[in-house]
Amino acid sequence: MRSIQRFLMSLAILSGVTAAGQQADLRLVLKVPDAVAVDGLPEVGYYVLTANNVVYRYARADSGLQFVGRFSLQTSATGIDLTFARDNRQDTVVVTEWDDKLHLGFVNRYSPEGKLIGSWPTLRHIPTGIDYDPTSHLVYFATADSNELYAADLHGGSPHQVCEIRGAVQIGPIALDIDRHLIYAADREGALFLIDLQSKKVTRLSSSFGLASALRFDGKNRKLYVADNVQKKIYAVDLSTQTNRVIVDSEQIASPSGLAPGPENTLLVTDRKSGSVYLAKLEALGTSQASSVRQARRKAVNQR
Amino acid sequence: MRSLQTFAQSGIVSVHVLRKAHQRVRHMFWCLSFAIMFPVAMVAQTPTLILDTASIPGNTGQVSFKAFLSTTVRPGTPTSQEQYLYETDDHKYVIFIDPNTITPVPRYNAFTFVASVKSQGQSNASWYVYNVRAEPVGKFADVLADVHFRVQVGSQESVRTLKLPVHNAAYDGDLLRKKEDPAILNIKMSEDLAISFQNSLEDMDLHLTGIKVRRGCAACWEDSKPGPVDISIRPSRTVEVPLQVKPKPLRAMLSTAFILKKDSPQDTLSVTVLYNVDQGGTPKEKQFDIPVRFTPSIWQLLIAVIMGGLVGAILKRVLDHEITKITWGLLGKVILLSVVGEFLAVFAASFDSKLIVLSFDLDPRQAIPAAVLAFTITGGPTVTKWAATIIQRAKPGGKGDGAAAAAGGGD
Repeated sequence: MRSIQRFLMSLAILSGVTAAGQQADLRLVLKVPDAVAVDGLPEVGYYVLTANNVVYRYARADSGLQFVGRFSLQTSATGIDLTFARDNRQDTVVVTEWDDKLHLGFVNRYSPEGKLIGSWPTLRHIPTGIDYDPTSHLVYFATADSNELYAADLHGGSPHQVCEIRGAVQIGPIALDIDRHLIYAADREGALFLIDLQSKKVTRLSSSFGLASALRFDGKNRKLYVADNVQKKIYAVDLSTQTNRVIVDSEQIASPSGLAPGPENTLLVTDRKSGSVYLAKLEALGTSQASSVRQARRKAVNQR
Repeated sequence: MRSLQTFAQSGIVSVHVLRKAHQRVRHMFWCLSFAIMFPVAMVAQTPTLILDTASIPGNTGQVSFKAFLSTTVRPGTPTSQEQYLYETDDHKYVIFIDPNTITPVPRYNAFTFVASVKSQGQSNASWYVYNVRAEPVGKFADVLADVHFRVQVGSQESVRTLKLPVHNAAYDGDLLRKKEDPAILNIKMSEDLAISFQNSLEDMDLHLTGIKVRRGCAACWEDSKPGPVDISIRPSRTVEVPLQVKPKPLRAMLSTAFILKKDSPQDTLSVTVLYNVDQGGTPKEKQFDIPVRFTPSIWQLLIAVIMGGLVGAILKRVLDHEITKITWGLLGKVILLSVVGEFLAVFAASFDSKLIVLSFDLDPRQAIPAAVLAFTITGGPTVTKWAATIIQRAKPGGKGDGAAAAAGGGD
């Protein structure tokens, strides 16, 4: 009889862990209709690319984020992804664009005011996910049609091919691990790939998703955050164990489209369908999970 | 045989060890057993939803699906839209597709939706919720497609075919201009501009959400009644869509005064329509280049005719050195001649007859050509000859310097 009681206690502990894993502290900070990508940093502000080819710029304020300005992409192409690139000279935004009528791709660099500073044509290749390495001043971008990874020097020169991501089906977002010279890339089937930039070795990771619309690498905790457009959740992939953990599972998230590092251990999440930008508290999530386990254990001990 | 014996012995030993073990170890054993067995038990009872690849009629493409069981299991009935509520053929399960959850993923030309499955017959049964990823391949029109689905529990399988809206961002032949519309649009100066658009899809609505108009002659147009666009076009139907611009009569007439050829557009509007197929279609943009000709109202035409007639009559008197007074009778004669001439010219033009005035093929329904026509009628041979000489000089390859002649000068 006693062992059955303990069995039920174990059940309570386990269900507590599961429930805690699904709750997230989400705070609505902005309304940006049709946001398709976001990048930036708390100290410099954020850039949000929308489906109608407008880049909105926000700065951090006491109340959340404050609108600073906006600009339209200066081509007839459609913006796909963007990355914030800060070098010694200036802050810029680099956008991957595809013109469906001309069948031409571009990686365009804009000033925060929207002035076109530089342009790298990708010709017939569709540029997709993009990320920036401030140490080497290289902009990395993937191509959705040929599943290749390219690098372009922010200071000039044409993009050069880094490698082909074999086994991928239409590469989408990418995320850079600057310290380890690694790139993570997701494809349309939800598979996750690891590319070693030095050896050019491509490894398919065991983690997979419904459809990853955005990736964000957290160097501090060595975690990869993944926005899953099908399952409408944000995952954290522990890269040492390659295990996924749901960190945001909320009815408010209908179509997550972008991830950016938020202030004080938070994650900025854009949601395309609801036109909302949320701040997800990562720290609070961990704490609440741990505390619920502790509480359940304490209860079990008291009832013994 | 020996290995079997060893296995049995080890089993007995482990049960014996468990009995002897400390309470805490036993507790951990139960926890571990539960952790291992719990997911297996759950999976065994949870139905698996499989949607087979759907072929699009006409072999123009196909759509493959992948369903992911969501962690949320909702009790009760979802907000019912019976259009997408189906019972499996063996009446064991009900599947519900919520059309409001169909969400496009333009980056991959894919879309997602939520499907819920419930055991039939149990009033308090929970819904198992699945997030489904749909991947269209090919260039087909958005359509309500037959999708075969299976609900599997263990070795048992329940099946049914359902109708599901499948979308394709790669297809752009859904929104068309009305076929019967002329290539060059004649726009009345006094009216707001509207264009007829046709929905070529057979069973899905189109939803127009925005219109952007870029004008070739910016001065010729003004905005009218700007406001949000929210227009639905039923399948295979045509709807007249206001473009929220209208011509500025005087500016349009003056700016395009010298585009006199009958078949030449006086301006070209670049109209971009923002739309999506209803029930979760990808937002699309389609551009239409629409050549236009401005058509003056009857009053504007009448004023142009009278002015042209008067100028012609005065010029005739100047050139012929006539010094008789301008009387009301003369004015009446001028107006009558001009109006009758214009009327006959318009009548002839409506039968596609050519009107050659001063060696130009003119459209008498336009204000400036109508004025020129009246000018030649009331001016008579003297004015016509004089005007023809000037035009001859101004033409490239004509006598004298064209630019100088046009400026009325020369050496």
